[in-house]
Amino acid sequence: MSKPLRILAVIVILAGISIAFLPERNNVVQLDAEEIMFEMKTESNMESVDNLAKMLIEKDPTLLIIDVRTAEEFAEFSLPGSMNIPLEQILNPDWKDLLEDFAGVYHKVFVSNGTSKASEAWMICRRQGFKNNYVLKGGLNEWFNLVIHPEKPKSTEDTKAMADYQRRLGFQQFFTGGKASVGSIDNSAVPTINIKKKKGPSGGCG
Amino acid sequence: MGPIVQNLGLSTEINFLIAFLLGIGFGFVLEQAGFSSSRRLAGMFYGYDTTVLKVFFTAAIVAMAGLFFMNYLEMINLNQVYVHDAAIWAAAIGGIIMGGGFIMGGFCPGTSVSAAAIGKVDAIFFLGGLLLGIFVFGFFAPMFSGIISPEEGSYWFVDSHKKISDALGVSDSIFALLLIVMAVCMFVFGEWLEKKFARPDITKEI
Amino acid sequence: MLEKKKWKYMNPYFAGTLLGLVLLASFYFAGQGLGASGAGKKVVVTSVIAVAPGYAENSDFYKDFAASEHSPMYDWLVFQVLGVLLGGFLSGALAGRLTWKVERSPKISRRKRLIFAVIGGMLFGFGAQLAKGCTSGAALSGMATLALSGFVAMVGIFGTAFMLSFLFKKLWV
Repeated sequence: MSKPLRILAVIVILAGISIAFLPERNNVVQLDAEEIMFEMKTESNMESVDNLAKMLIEKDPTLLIIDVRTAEEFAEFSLPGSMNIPLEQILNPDWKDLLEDFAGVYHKVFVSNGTSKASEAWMICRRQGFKNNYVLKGGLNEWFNLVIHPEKPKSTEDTKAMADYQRRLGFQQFFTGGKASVGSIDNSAVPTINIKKKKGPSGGCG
Repeated sequence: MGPIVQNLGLSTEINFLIAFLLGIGFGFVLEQAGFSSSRRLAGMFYGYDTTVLKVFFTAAIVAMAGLFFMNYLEMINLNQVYVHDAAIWAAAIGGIIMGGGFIMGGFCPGTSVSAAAIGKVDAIFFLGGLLLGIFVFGFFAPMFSGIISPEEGSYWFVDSHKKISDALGVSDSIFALLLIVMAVCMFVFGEWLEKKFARPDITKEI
Repeated sequence: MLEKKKWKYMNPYFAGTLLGLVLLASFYFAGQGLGASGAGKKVVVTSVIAVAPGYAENSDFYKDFAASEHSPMYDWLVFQVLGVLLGGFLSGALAGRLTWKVERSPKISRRKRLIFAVIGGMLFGFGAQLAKGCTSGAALSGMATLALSGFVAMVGIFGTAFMLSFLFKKLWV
């Protein structure tokens, strides 16, 4: 082998050794994984329907409801004051500042029909280190069950169930107002930003 | 931070323009390296010309090392980079079939495009065969769906990691060092092969 | 008589470094590696939809594309491969290598070389559908991102080609 090639080989191997000793940025994420698991297990990332209803009624200025369903679903029904970021757009840089919420102003609640899409959105944000994000427990289905059509507890159940029911009747009154429409009450205040759908990393060949 | 297209939210058209420019670079380098010559490509398997081995592995380790350094400098988010994710059996069987195609056809798809561009008739026929092969696959696609996307528990399902470093149980950076050392050893071996199996009559012609 | 001056090929390590940088740029800009066979699939899909739309709608392989609003050619890899065509042409033009030619071993006829080229292409096209990519998309881009399936495909391609090489020695040497 010629001399320049030998020198080249040494340089390449030195580069390899320096790679082996580079601190891995990915490790930060891996450490986070345990934390994320813990938060999911203890459900400390979950927001209950009752709590959400209460915050909505109190017009809590820090509350930010982020609906991760599709635009069609969102148009059909949405929670008052919620904004729509379809799940596939959650990584869009337009939303980064809002989701990252560096100043920690907002109490952000992800909403989907069940919890799977919302949890996915939460996971994506959490992995990037974003804080103050929550998932609506039981999703909109639970919202319907508890707030729109609360079920009267059986007389055998304890007083707490009854108190919950009474409170939920109040919620129902507030959110449906006896009106026929169950749909969104006031979405006008929410900025609707139209953004293009971005293609994420996809297959190479295929 | 990269990938630029996703993180700056560039439009699809600009993304395609980038693809076109990258393609020009790809095609140019392939042709300059001599990959437009099928006898040069096939030379690797008979030892008289190991250009393919050298170019291929140099490119792989340069890109890999580059990704590591860029990740360290926080220039690229590796979570957003597409990592090839074919099912293991599908990749193995597909690879074996492609290997047969390589030694008979003398090209791989990328090199055949750059060879066709300079008027190699065999490359144009290879491209025709390529399209025909894909068309034939279309008829059998349902037969292979169990291999391409195997369901959990099926015969073709292998529960393994996406990355080779995880599968081997070493860190990414240690594996990168191993790969670089391996590549350098292969380069030394390639230089030796070229001396031993030198065929000046062929190498002069191509 | 003056011999027409031909450019030598680039030093393989230098070419490899350049190729690696192009690949790295692809990851940096687009978040994905380079490819080739995927564009071939799009060409096939487009043709089949144009010729036999009824068949395409009912076939697993084509129906997703038949239903899409965009043409299958509206695709990242299609534009990338068009670039490869232009890049190869530019390089060949610069180096004075633009000639119609069937490259083959003197031991075989043109016809035999072309038949084997078609067979080789067919096998490559077929295999690439299974492995979700070819030498560039699966093996090269996969290796750079340390993808397990990329390494498996790489070993499959080069290993098989090497093991079968004694059978086809006449084609090349």
